[in-house]
Amino acid sequence: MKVHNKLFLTGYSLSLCLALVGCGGGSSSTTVEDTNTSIATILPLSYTADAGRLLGSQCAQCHGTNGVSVNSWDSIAGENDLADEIFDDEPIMTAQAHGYTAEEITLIGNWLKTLSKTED
Amino acid sequence: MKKVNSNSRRDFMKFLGLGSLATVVPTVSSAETIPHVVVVGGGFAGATCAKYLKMWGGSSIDVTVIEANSTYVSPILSNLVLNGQKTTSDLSFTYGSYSSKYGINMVHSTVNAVDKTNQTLTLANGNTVNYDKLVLAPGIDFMKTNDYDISKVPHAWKAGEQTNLLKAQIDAMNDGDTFTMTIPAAPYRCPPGPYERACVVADYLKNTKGHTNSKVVVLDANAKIIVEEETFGAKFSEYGVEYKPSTTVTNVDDTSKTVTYIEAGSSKTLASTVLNVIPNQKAASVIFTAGVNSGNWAPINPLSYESVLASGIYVIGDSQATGQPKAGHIGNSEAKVCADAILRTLSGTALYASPKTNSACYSPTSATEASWLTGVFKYDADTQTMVASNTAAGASSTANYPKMFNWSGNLFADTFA
Repeated sequence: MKVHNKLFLTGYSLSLCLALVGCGGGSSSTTVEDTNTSIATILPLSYTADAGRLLGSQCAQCHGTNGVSVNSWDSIAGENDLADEIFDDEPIMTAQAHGYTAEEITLIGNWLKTLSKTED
Repeated sequence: MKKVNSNSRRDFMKFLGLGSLATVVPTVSSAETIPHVVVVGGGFAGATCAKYLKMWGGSSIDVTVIEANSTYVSPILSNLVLNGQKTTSDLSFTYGSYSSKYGINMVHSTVNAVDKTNQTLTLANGNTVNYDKLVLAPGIDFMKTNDYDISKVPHAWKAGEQTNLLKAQIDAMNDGDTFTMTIPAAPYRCPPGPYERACVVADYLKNTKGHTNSKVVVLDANAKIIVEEETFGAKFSEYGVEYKPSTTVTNVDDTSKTVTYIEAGSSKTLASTVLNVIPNQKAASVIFTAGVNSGNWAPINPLSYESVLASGIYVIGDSQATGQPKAGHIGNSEAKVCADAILRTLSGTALYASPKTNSACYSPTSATEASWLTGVFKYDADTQTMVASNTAAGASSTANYPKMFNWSGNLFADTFA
């Protein structure tokens, strides 16, 4: 028998509820019997590709997920002047910056501007 | 679509602690579902891929990570356990808050079989898991020269118990004792790592333990120091590390603590108080189980990390066969390109045509100094490979040492938090 995901998740949520009810009501076990299910088809995935986000996600290894650093290195979420900053920074940052084209840096910069700034 | 047979569903509920309270099998006949991506391996590549699949794909995608261990110990920074600057618990990550934050299903088991026709995995725990897309991020396996006990001759190249074993052996050394390590033939996990280790151990023995008569010997399968040659070469000179390039290990004896190797055509045997053999490496076993290897590694399309040998199966991290380095930082980097490519493919969108990845790492060379190495890799459409577009290195300094923890801190958080 094949059960597709949505059903699986529903079953899981339902079992949680029943489990809680079961405990509260003093019942130790609840069983719902299976029936046949048809083969599922995949729902079209809703996904908006974003080149700036894809390229900018590569900053996160050093500057944190979505540009939010967890330590004293710069958060870059909400960064307004990326191109100026990255070429005049620590040598390791400048070395990275030279690996990207001006167009790519613009894409990354435009994406970073859409993120909430966490610090000045 | 995610198809879970009733046994495995019940087992999964048992795994969640619900099986004894309620067994619910839903009664539905409608036929729509969402895609299920299964990621095998919860290290830097796998954990990042699952996180970004859910961060970018949201509730329109279901993601399961299959990982053998409930705790991951980072190999990154693990050489600092050897000199007492870190502990393995400092470098340990669990998956509880990570999986609940992003809505990732965690299954702690290993894969016994991959059925590519039916898109099904059979796990060691007996369960069956169906996938629409499969991401393999299993890391590396070792190719030992012969059968020997790795509790006596540790590699310490997968972090955790092995790291602590090696540390205990180093701490038991007396002044005048010898530490010998072997460096595998490239490609292997973390190119600077072995050289970094030789420096850290030499500094520790000489400057922390005061073992000025002890010796560090390095047998390198490669013809020279393969990365940061100037930095590590200078440190080897400073510490008096005895460096022997172009040496091929042929036998390891865990009782006599000897390593036999070929150097310049002749076989030699060296005894050492502590012997740290890092064997040659290949893709981890599930790559071979899935039949997506060509030789020791898994060839992939760098636009997506999809195997060139099996559609719908993706390989990221140390097991893949591009020329990119095998290391945690770039494994994280590859994982994002792969996650985006899977989401594009599932939504009928063209792959991004010019992905970039990057590698960066700080290497401790003592208890107070570190160096760094970085590179950007771009897709070359003519050769359909990833090529280094910019690489640079920074010399060992005390200023770099605290920066190393900023780098690792954000890398760890971007992967596991």
